[in-house]
Amino acid sequence: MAEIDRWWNLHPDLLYQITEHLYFYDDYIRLRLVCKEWNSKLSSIPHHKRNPWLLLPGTTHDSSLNHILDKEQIYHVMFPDFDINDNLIYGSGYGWLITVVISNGAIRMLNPFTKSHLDLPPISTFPDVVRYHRDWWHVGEYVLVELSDGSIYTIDAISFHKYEIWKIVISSPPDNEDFMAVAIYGECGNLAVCKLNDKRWTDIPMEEISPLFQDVIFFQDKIYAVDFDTNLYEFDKKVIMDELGKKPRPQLVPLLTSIGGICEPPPPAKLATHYNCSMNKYVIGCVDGSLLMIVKHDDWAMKMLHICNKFDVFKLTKNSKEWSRIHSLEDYAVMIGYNSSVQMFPGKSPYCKANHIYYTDNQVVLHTPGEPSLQDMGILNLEDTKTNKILPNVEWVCPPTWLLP
Amino acid sequence: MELLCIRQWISGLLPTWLSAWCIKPVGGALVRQEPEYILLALMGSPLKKIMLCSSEKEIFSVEEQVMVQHSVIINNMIEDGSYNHEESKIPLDCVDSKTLKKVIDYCTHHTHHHNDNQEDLEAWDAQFLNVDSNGLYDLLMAANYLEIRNLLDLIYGTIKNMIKGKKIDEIRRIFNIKDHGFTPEEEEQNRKEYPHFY
Repeated sequence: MAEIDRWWNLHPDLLYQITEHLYFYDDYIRLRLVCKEWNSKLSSIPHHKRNPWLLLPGTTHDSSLNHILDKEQIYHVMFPDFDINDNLIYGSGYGWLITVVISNGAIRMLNPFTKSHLDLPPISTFPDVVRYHRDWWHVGEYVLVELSDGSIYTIDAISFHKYEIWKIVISSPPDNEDFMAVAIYGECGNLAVCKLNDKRWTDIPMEEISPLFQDVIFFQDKIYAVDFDTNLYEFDKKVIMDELGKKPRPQLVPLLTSIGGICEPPPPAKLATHYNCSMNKYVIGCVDGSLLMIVKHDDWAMKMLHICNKFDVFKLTKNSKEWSRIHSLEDYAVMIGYNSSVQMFPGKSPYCKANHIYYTDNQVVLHTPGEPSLQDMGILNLEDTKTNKILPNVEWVCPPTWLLP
Repeated sequence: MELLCIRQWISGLLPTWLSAWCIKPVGGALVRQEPEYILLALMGSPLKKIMLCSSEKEIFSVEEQVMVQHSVIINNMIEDGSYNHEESKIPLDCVDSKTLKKVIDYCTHHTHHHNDNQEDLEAWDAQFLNVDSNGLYDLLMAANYLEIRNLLDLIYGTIKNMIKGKKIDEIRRIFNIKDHGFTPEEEEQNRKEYPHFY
């Protein structure tokens, strides 16, 4: 058997086996570049390697980073029109990043694996924006913003673009026709939603209360949000979706009861009032239908050093009336930060361990967006409550975030 | 010659207490029992061999235990009785003689030397896989067909090293891929997107 060109025609199963033995993502890319046959038999995203990535926005020639992470795999992605000084990442999910462009307030979705991108409605279309203005009085553009009590304040556009968004979460990859994005925005941490191809963000109205939401997720056809006081809210995604599809542009106000509202189970944590905002809350939907709430304690006084040691984990089983405190995630891990808070099943993966909390910093209150700052990121082992800090001494202009393909 | 092989094999495997039985007092004098007869008495049958037939119709005789230990396919054949010891041979039409001999070599060595230290085994494996890309391809096909797990892992490990960190043109050369099949535009696009791989 002396034919020469046989490797070229390698059976897909065997090719797949080769990729299973590859350690570096770079080598996977190499395989796809060798020849057309291999390229067509290997998907552009290695689906079997569903490991979490930590996205570090920086320049490829940042040798200081390579040195620190010499044991990890670093995959460099070039995004020609992504200026790390002009972009802030405010969400990630399903392999997509959601970024805000500081200079013009555009909101874009980028996929580092497939290099695709698409736009969501810009910040200027948020419900609290009255209008943008430019006059000789003020330097540069400024924005008139309406608060919930009706009063109006002005802020320069650049700062507005930096501070307006807290987090953006998407319900699915954008090729899904039920796609929806929800944003926590504004001074008061309200919720706004949009679908693909919408021109504006639509506010989800609250009744009399003015909650300051800290996290939001899509879970089982509902939208769950947790506010600073650890109250849980539930909204019906289908109803909202239907209304958004109607013309003319709906106001969701008349639908209040059917959309949803505050949840029955009382909040799990009695937290001291003046510490509320500095503690970040996260809500996660679990495989078995229950919800997890994670409260991350930050020491307000230690703002500069940013030591985070304490996490409280609460669980609300399906149809239950009460949260219960849990001390172990058992076979699962969770990832929190700017990414859509998720529960993961690491199995035998060497890159993700069970009963650990993987966190990055999304403490909007304690950072100045767009300025280099230290980030509180780490991996907490719930069993012994020891934390492995990630890059504690590096300053970031655009904070790192978890990315799951 | 066969008897010799068995004797060597046995003396390597016999635990010391059994070897001690080889010395028995007979009529006041010490007489050494032949070790292989004792073992035959224990096992009850001669060492089984099986016949493997390459695509070139060449027949290779190999210890059944060796192949059963390594190849899932052969193990299954013998267990479900489709292999008749008296006259059958297992036809392996997709494996040529050269490759089959190498596969048998691998299995035999690993069975007989499984107690060796790790370094020695690895050195032997490295030497074993010192073949050109054609030979490697044939070994991969044979190991895959016969389902020899540890040989497959070894081959995949080698392939991984052939790819790791290499430039694309070098990988093409190593795997003898003369025509990559991309259109000139596609190839140019690839080079533009991943310049550091070329």
